[in-house]
Amino acid sequence: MCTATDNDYEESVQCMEEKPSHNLVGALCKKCGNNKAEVVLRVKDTYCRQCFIDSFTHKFRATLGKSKMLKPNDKIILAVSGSPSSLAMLQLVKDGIEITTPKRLQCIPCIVYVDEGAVLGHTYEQRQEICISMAKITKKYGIPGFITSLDRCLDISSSHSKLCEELHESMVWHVNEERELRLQSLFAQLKSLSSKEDLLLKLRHKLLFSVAEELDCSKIFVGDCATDLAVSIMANLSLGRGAQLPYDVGFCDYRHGKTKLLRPMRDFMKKEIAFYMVFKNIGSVSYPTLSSKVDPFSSIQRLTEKFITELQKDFPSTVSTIFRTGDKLTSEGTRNVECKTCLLCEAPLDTSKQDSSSMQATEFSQLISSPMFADVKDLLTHSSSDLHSNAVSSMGDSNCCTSNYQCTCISQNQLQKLDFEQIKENLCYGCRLIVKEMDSLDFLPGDITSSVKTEIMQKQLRKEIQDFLL
Amino acid sequence: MSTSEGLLRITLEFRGGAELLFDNVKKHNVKLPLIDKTWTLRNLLLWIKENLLKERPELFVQGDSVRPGILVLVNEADWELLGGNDYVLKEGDTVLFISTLHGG
Ligand SMILES: [Zn+2]
Ligand SMILES: [Zn+2]
Repeated sequence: MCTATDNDYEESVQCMEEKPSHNLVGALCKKCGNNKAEVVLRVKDTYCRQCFIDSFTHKFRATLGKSKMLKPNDKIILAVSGSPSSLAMLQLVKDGIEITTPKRLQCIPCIVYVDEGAVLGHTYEQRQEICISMAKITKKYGIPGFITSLDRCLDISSSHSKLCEELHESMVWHVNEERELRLQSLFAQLKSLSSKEDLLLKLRHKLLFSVAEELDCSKIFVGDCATDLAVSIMANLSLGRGAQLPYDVGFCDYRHGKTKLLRPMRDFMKKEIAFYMVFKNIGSVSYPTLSSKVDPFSSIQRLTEKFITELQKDFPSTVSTIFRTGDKLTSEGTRNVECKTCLLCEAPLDTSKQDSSSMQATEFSQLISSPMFADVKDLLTHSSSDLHSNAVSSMGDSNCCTSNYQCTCISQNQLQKLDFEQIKENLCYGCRLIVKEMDSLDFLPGDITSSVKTEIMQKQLRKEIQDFLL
Repeated sequence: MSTSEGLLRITLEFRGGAELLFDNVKKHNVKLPLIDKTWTLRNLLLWIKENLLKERPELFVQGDSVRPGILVLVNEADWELLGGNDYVLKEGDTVLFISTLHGG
């Protein structure tokens, strides 16, 4: 490749085709050849309204059918955010379960809306309004709907209260201020918008999986479309999530084991979805997000989106090229159950050291560029405190907890403060990058910190009794 | 010339987050003065940029067209079927701008 001459290059490399110009003024529908076309896809494929809706619906059913993932009477969650894609998905599922032909979708859907208002900076009034809009949608479609809020992912295991409530039009939405404050503190520590967007998505999925358990659903449908996924493929590579691509952009995200997250909208472009919404007269519920009115350069995800949409304008096969390339990057069909998973995103850990991996390089450069090799210093202090604690424990337990000595009984209380080094081993590379931006780990979801603490306690215990083992 | 004859009345709609750049108002009934130019979509965009856009024009207009990722529909039909920027607006037209970009 490096030695290729210009000639070789021109002959051997297949380039994307630039957009040819077509005069489509007054064109007829390519499919029925009868009606006036109202939308053009893939540069020159013209459709009338009816033919467009038919092929759109057909594509959705084909994507689901081909996957053979749905079993009769599967209970599924439709994760509806109010975005065009999620509402189009809702309409398609509703149409699918209502038809009477053998093609009927045999599943029992419910709608789940995740209120992210605390992170997105919405006012209480805005959130109440969105909540009522969602309740109306639920009623219109006659599908049971539930609302949950992102802060609930912080107390998943400890709270015995329900994670979600049923949506109804006269409801008054209650927020838990204490927990929302913790959630906001968690996000406020992150310095980059890239990490905020990434964390928001991970927490949202974490919550959805728990809600699925609560509602006894085995599948979650999310509205990610082809354009979204093309952006995710490129952005995730930059965010250090390359190893997780099959989970993050594939049709089925099976990282969770029992509950599967499916992306039935993945074969649609944003443009197709927008026209479907117009032709079917479905209004979307739009509200400001983390990236509303911000500079396209403010996060990796938004910059990637800008890059892809601008390229797509002149090279209409951009999205499908990226998308199809990403699809080929699959992992070994079944997940290795033995493999440790990331506490935050639940993807299998990709951090086992390999020679000259980029992670190793990053860690090394951090080590040598830290002031006075802070890590080395840390190491030394750690080992000296180990000596100290050994000495203390050899003194017997009589003074324990009462003396001036730092007590070596490891209790939850004493492990209250976790630091990055302690939690690092339980996170994948992408999540480490997020957590590293945090000054304090106190605001992380409770189940994460408590399982790290438990692990540390077990290790400590093992160390303490190892002298007594033969 | 009476005022109604000298004006071109059209409706502008903004969706998908594009409305956030227009004081969150989704629907605007506008009257365009019929002076010596024809009202093509290209001219309309310039007019919107100068008269209607409240903030961050670069998030809506790029060059003489809309920012890539924003769809344009005239009377619910794809503007690519109408000649794009060169389409000449008619009395009563509804022009719909849909942002497909994250966050609008
Ligand atoms: Zn047709
Ligand atoms: Zn992770």
